[in-house]
Amino acid sequence: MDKITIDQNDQIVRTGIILAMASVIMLFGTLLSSFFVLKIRLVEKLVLPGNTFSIGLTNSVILVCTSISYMFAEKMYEKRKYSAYEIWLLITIISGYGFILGQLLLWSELTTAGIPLTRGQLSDMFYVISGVHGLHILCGQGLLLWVQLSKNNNGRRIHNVGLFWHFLTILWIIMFTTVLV
Amino acid sequence: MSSNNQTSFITKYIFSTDHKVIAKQFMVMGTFFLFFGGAMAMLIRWQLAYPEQKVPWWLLGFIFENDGGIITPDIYNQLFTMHGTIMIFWAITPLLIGTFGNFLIPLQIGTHDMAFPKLNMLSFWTMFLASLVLLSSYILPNGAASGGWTSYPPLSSPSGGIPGLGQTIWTLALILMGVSTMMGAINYISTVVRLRARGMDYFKMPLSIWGLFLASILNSVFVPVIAAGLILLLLDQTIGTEFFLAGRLASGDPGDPLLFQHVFWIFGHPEVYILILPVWGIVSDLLSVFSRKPAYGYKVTAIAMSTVVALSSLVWGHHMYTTGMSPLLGKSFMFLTLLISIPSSMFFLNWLGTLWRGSLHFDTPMLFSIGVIWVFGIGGLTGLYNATVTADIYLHDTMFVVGHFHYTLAASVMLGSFAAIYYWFPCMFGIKLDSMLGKIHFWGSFISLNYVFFNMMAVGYAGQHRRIYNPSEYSFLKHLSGINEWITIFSFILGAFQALFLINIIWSLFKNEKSEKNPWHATTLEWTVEYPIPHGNFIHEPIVFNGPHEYSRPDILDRDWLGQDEKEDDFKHG
Repeated sequence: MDKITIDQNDQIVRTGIILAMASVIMLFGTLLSSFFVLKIRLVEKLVLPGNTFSIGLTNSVILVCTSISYMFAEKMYEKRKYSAYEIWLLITIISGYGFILGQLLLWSELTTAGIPLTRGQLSDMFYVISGVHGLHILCGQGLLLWVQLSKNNNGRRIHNVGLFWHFLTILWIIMFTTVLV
Repeated sequence: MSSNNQTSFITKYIFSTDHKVIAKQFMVMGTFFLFFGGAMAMLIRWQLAYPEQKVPWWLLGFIFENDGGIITPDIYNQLFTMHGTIMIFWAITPLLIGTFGNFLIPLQIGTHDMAFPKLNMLSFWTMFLASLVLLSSYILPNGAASGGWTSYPPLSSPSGGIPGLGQTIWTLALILMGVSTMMGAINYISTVVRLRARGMDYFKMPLSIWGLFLASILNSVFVPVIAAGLILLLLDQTIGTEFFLAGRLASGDPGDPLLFQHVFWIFGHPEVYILILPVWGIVSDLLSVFSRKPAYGYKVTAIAMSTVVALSSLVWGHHMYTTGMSPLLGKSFMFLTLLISIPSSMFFLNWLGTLWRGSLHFDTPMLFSIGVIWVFGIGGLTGLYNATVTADIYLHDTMFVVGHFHYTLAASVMLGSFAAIYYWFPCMFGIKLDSMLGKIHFWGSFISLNYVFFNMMAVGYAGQHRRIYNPSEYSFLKHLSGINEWITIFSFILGAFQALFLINIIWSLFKNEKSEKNPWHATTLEWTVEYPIPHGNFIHEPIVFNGPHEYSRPDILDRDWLGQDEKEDDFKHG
């Protein structure tokens, strides 16, 4: 059997990632529409106490920054400036962990402010959506680490991983604006 | 791309990335659960015909010794719940999509393996883990799940629902199963989209691949929907959220139990097409092979199946007519559901068109394929009654529905899987299954399953509810006890004839008569390679010239078929 070329392999991987994104969209689409079904039904509104909104906003900004820094990393790789690429990638990974920590902070802040888990359906739904999104971010972090640690990188692989990472960012912005704002 | 020199036993047979080995793993697992679920069906039938009588030894009566040898109501609920769950998710899915999806897709489109071989292996082992989790619920003190295969809350809720952990374990197992299915689906779609051999256009793919491809599309889109619903249900069951709890069960603001039903059926209706689509494809191909005629209206069949896939996502409401749905919504769902009968009858007529004036060869796979035409015809026609709001309000949750979906799912899918196994056995194991035993297996199964499922519809029409424990307790069902008994007797005959299938496999493996290459004179690519097919399948990438059904071409003289990778000019004289 003839060997599969890198070009072909890249196309296969991209197809797989796009299909995975479609599945993830359906997952979050269901959670989001369940949220709205409950929201229409319930009398209680989701009111955010204290500084939780600003923490959430900060987290979102951090996540957008990771996407931008990943774009810079990709650019640097294309220009063959490998040390700059390494630094931008490191910034992406560290700020990705920053986002996860920020989300945990948001959860604990919500709990102390009197909205713990199992208090009401709407706030619970926020916990679920951010939790499931967080699990996907952890998977994305795994991919980023894989890119950083693997020796035989190429521009295409970096691009493909980026596709998924930017997708997670966009997903979070949609969730944040529809659920919390 | 993949290393082809796997030598140790573990990498070759257990943690293999070869799609053919994974297909066989799925086949063993699917067959095991098919018999497991079938045994539960026998016990359900025992209770319905001989309520609260001692289970005989040949139905493994000793299992119920602690309960005085009878099937108690709790056990009965567990039986029909686990029968449905196991048959749908652990028997049919592995047997059709797991086995034949894995085996056929790379071979029939002419490529070396799946797009992501490691993901494929991971998919099987996730499924394996899911089955261990599911089976583990049998050792719980309160037993396995018993809220029905739909597990609607509040039946499946912690408060007010069924006691014990069974329901939680069920939810967890289904989430794992969903993850496995999604990995498989992404793999199959990527393979079909990216790895088709040169010349293999979409409209040169065998219809089996069309069926599996469309089923995978539905899987990748709709399994995440149920995954989301199950995550919410699992949280309800474990940490005490109240998404699906309402009324007195909810401590604060009420949640929405109907929300789960919607989420379940948005997935659930496409799921029934996921199960049947591979069979439609396989039957379309096999009818053509054994009629020695091109499949009638090949493109129409492919497009009609795609239309069904598109429509299937818009009809979930027909499972919920009795939930107090607004009449306007009910009518819309009825209209959309009835619309599906148009593409379905298009490919159904194409099957008959393939048979029309063909040179029919009644080998075992052909018998099973013709059986599918009959049972799917009845199943499809009775679907119209369930789709119509006015009729369905009476028939909802009766045995009529059970008979209907056993015709479409159980009978069609079972006969279709057997057709596929008898047909592709020489390609998978190098041996032809015994045709005499196969034919007896067919006639035994076909006659008894028709008796069982048709009369289920009759008792349903007479008003027997699908989940009642003891029909003889109700005066209006008393006169049905005779027919219930006969259904049970024929279901035992149906079960006994399935043993013939296992005997056939063991007998044929024991005889070990090597099958010739391409015993059915088929045109598709999987028959161009010699058994045993090596890891990597083809030595050279095949080039495809012809469509999948080039039978009995008048311009080809020596034989009545032309392989997909053969040039027609080589076989013309002159």
